[in-house]
Amino acid sequence: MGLITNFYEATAMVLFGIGFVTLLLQKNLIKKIIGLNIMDSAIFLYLTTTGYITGRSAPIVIDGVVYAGAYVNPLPSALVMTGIVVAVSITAFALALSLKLYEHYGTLDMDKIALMSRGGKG
Amino acid sequence: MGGVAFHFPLFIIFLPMLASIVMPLLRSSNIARNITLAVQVVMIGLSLGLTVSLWVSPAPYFTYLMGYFPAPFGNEIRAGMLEALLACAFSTVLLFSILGTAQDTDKDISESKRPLFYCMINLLNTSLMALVFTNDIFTAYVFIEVNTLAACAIVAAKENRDTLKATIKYLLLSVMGSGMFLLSTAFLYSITGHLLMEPAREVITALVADGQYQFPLTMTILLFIVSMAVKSALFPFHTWLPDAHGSATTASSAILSGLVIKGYIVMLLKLLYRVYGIETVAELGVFHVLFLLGITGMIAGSVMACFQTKLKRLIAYSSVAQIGYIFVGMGLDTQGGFTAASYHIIAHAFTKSMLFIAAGALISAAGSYTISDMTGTARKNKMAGIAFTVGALSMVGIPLFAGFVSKFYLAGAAVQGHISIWITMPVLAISTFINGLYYFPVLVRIYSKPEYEGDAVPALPVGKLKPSFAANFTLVCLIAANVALGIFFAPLLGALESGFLWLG
Repeated sequence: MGLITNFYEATAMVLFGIGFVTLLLQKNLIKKIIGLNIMDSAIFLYLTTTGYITGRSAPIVIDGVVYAGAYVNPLPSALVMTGIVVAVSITAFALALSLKLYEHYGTLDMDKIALMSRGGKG
Repeated sequence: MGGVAFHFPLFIIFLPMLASIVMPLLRSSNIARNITLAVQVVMIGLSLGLTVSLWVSPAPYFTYLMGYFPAPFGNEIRAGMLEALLACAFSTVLLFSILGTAQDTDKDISESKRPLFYCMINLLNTSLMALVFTNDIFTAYVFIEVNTLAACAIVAAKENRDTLKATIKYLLLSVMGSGMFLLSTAFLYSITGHLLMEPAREVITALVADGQYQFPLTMTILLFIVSMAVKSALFPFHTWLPDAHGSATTASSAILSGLVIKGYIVMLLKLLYRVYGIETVAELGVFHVLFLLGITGMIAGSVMACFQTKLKRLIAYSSVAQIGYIFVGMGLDTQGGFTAASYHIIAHAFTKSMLFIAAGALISAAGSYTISDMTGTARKNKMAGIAFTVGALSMVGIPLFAGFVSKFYLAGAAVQGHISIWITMPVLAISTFINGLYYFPVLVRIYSKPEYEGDAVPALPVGKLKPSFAANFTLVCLIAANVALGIFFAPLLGALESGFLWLG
């Protein structure tokens, strides 16, 4: 069964779906941002899982190289690190923007904000 | 390819990055602006130098190893004719967009925030240039995110209710696109094991020849297309664009409409050409998706523009239609179509930035955003009136202006195509007609004599009626560029075509 052997990948895709739909359909800005983070974490889980092979260790060489098959590729972990940095900065920006929106509109509900700005100057 | 020009792409990417680091330390906004302008001038020089050295050198392109690790490892920059010309056009448009809108920027953004505004513009410039030159998919992802953040920041810079709402809408849709891009990159990496474009293409070509991974590969291309379409505001995903471009300060509108959305299209072009290869994309049938999206965009953008009552939103919806033209050019799957698309990227960058700068000047002359208050504004600010006229004529596709050339070659490419001519030609005609339908009433209005002189109360404080020398100079240069692109197009088209020849 593909789903059982690829349990982590399948979980990652389900999480991506949850995050994506939350980002798309939630009205509350904070919940949207949480959805964004779930979505990004799902991709990180996927990358980490594909980068890990049972029985192999990190490519840290102390007593000389044993043989190439004893190590995993370090690149997926590096990608995840970079991705986390990007996700953090986007989240910070989005939260700062939400604060500003709350100051100007007094709500974090996107539907209400859209209504208010249309009712105002449009 | 030897000599100092070999290092130019690296300088082009790092120079604005260094400038953006310096900006927050500056106290005076004038110094910040002057440094930004100086950086732009140097970058135009560098990219011109790169173009000329590629023109004279026997090698049509070169790859630059970052850190000197050979091909399957390490990170690479690739520079060919197409990349050099795009870098040249983008830095020129950016220079004029900053220079021509200085008055509006000073009015809309407070003195203490202006150095940060220029910091964001420099970051945006870095990410654009990195998207143009990079040869690595993950580097592209990182710079796509940098571009998103910087673009959102320059919309929010003019801080009021409308821009904040527009920014959050833009940011949320953009991160959705970025998420899809990252997911697709992760899939592609686990299928091919490469992030560099050329090694990835070798693996993909071999897999498709064996008939393996057809479905996952098609899904990754579609994810890439949708994510780039969201960010470049192609029709069904355009909802953020009119708000963001219509409410931001003039400099931001010009830069966003002229450059930012183009950066993502260039990235998509590179993904199709360099990661998948044109033959593979054609085999998987993805070009039909691009073509259909483009055709709907052409009509829908134009139709929605007809119903706008505010000048900047009208120009923004016109951008949605023009992006449709570019995607149709890509979706035709002919050499001519790709060349026309890339020519339209450049032509639209010059025209749309000019339209926004002129519209900004007309808005401050009228003291209102609404088109019905614009009566006679071109008489008050003559240069802005002429620039708006030239821009509108170019967008409609009147000969002698830039927009005509790309439409002409798009039609020519459709003739070479297989079945699409019976769809492309009527849609081009209808879209051109609708373009005229919404641009010409505005032209008539800005030139007609105001009926109630000084009777209406302007909604905004009427700014300095006398436009600065820099603004007029910018508009003259952009008009000249537009006419030059419309008349002496042959060498540029030839160079773009040779760039595409070596892109794959």
